[in-house]
Amino acid sequence: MSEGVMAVVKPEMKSYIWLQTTDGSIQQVEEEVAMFCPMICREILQTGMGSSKNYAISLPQRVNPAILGLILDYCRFHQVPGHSNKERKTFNEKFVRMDTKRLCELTSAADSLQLKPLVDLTSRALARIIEGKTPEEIRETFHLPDDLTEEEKLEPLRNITDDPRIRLLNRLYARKRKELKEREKLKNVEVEEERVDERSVDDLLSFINGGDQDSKGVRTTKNKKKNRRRKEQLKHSSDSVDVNYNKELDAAPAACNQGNIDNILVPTRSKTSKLQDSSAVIFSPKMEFDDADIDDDIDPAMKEELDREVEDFARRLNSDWPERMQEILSLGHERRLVPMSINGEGPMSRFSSLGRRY
Amino acid sequence: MAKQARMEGVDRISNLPDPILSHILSFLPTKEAVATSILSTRWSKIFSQISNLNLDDHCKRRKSDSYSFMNFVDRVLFYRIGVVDKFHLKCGDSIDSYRVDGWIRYALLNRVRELDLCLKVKELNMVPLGVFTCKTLEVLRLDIYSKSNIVLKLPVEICYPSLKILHLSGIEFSDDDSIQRLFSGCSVLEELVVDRCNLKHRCKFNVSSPTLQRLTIAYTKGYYQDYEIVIDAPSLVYFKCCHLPKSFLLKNLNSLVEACVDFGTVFDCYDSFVYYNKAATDLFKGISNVQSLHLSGIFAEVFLQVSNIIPELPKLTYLNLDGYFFVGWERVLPDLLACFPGLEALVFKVNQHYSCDISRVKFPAKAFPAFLWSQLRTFKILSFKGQKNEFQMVEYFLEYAQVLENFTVQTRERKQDAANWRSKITKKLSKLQKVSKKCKVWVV
Repeated sequence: MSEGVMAVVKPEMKSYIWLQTTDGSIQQVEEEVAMFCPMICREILQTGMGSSKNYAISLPQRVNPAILGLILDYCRFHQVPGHSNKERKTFNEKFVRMDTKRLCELTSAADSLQLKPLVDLTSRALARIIEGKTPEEIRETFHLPDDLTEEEKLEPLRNITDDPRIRLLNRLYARKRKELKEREKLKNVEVEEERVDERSVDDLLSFINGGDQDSKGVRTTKNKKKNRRRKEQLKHSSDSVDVNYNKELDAAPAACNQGNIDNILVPTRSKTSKLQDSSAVIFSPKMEFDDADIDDDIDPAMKEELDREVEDFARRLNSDWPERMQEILSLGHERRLVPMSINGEGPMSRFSSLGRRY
Repeated sequence: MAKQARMEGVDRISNLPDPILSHILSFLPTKEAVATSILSTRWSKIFSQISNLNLDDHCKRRKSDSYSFMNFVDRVLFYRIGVVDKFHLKCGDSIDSYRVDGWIRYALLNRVRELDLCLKVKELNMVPLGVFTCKTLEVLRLDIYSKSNIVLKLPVEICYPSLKILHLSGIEFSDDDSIQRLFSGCSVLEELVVDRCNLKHRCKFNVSSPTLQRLTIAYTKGYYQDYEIVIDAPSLVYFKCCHLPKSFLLKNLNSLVEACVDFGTVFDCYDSFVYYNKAATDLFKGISNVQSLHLSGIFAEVFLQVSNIIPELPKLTYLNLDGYFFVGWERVLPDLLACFPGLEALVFKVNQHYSCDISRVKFPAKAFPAFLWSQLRTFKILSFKGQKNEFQMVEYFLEYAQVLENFTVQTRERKQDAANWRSKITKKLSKLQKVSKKCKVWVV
């Protein structure tokens, strides 16, 4: 709108409010439309601004002229009391049909103007866009940076609390993956490169879908990438305890495992399958056990030992959670994995104590 | 190509503030919302701030799926922070009831505002009594699906200072006392829905609330319908009743605007169709102030004696009729519409039973009350099949309704050749004589 329009005073004595966006441009808007925005309404009532061009209300930074136009269209429609609910719904449905970029800008602007109904409308639209998409698809739609490490992606819930038991299990997995990876590398070099990109998505899908995925082919590729990741993680790990731990294990893996396997109760086949299915377990041991599918001809005994060890660990950690908590709280004495949860002992002692116990 | 676009695009959504992002995620099922934690570092912690929990086990009965679902819920609850605004849980028998109890307690402890439980269970041992004394609860929906209704165990003291909306489905009230305790504990109740509930023999269902605005009592089962419903709600605006009890007492419904009554079928112990005339009479006496009425069900012979059942409803302007009459519309409508002197809009759904050809019957205009033709502005026919008697009805109305402005015909769903058939009907309708000049005919 221009000053020229303002000069023609309307016979009905309609009053206008002046609004200024951060780029300096000033617009005039019918008062009842502008008052629909709580932020503008408050500005007018508290400071008296907006009544003329010189005293235009400055709008927040997130509102640019194009988006302001959209917002005013919304306000103009909805401030009219005569519309039926059905009409409003139809208008809303048509209104949010825009590209995601504008939708985000609109949400941001509506939020800064405190226009809650519009924030709800755009939020729902954005939720509809997100719903049903894989993480990869969501990243593409919104241009999100893929800046989490593969490790972080696999263990999202762990990052929030620094649970020492989980760290230990993590290391066990890392070691195992590393070993299997090395063997696998000798076998299949070209195939590995090809499948690198898919792996993260599938990892996440199997983690998130909790075992809905069925394709074995998908899983085989996962392990390779995981092993690489594990390797990187081990490299980057500066925790001296970690290093010691890994060193010792690396030095005599066979011996250690043998010792442990003898002491740790070997779970039966049926238990293995049960745990394979319960992939809501933090680290999806399922992924580990799929190694059994592809690595059959590579030292199966060793692999099986590692499988069992890790599985037993994970099973005890995750499956008996409520009962164990009760045990911990009520009995107070150490049983099975209890010592790890209570004390902040180093992983070394924990591991050895475990070995001793079983 | 896609990769290029991604590199060129700007990530705008991550610039939105945390509360907005968690607001967006609150519209998703919790499983998907948690999945966003691996999108990028910005999104990694958002899921833990979502105040809505939407948990659904999708009726999976495999032990491993249930196991996985229970662990998932445990972890989500363990890692989230902040109050719980809405807690929606849908699960079945395969989920351990002690775990469910724990989850509900979690919600109660975290000041839940809206609790929505949809449980397909045999016993109700997973609903802690704390649900009925929660101070922050504003909306409670308890929906139980089981072969036989489950008795709702209520604590002795029920205290609901904030509860505004209460929906109960599929439960059994053990006695009058528990019903009383429940409703008297809700001091600010605005909406009540009691659906598919069981009332014990000779039970009295008493709802007395000064704040209640919307009430639905549907498909209540009782021992041979031998129960009584008493309603005293001066603020009531909307009332819906499906299947009448034997005895009805409606008091002080002064604010009532809209009522929906479904007569349904009632069978007595001899399996013969029973109709509680007294209950129907009491009902209509109680809703005498209503402006908008939806009548549905099997009206049977009773409606031939309509003038005895339905008193004059002077304020009624809108009538929606969806009934099976067993006799032709021309025998029922004149007397029925005579009870509504203020009628301006009529919606009529064509059902199967009145297949009467009125050309064979003498049908004078004065059978319908005179005021109707000078008042009826809107007339809508639903489920129109294009049969001869239906056209006759339409013809009749168009001929006599002098101030009719909107006449809508909604055709019945038809799979084959729908568009063609509809245009034939439109053509035929447009040829009919209309006494009202302003009348517009719509075929949808």
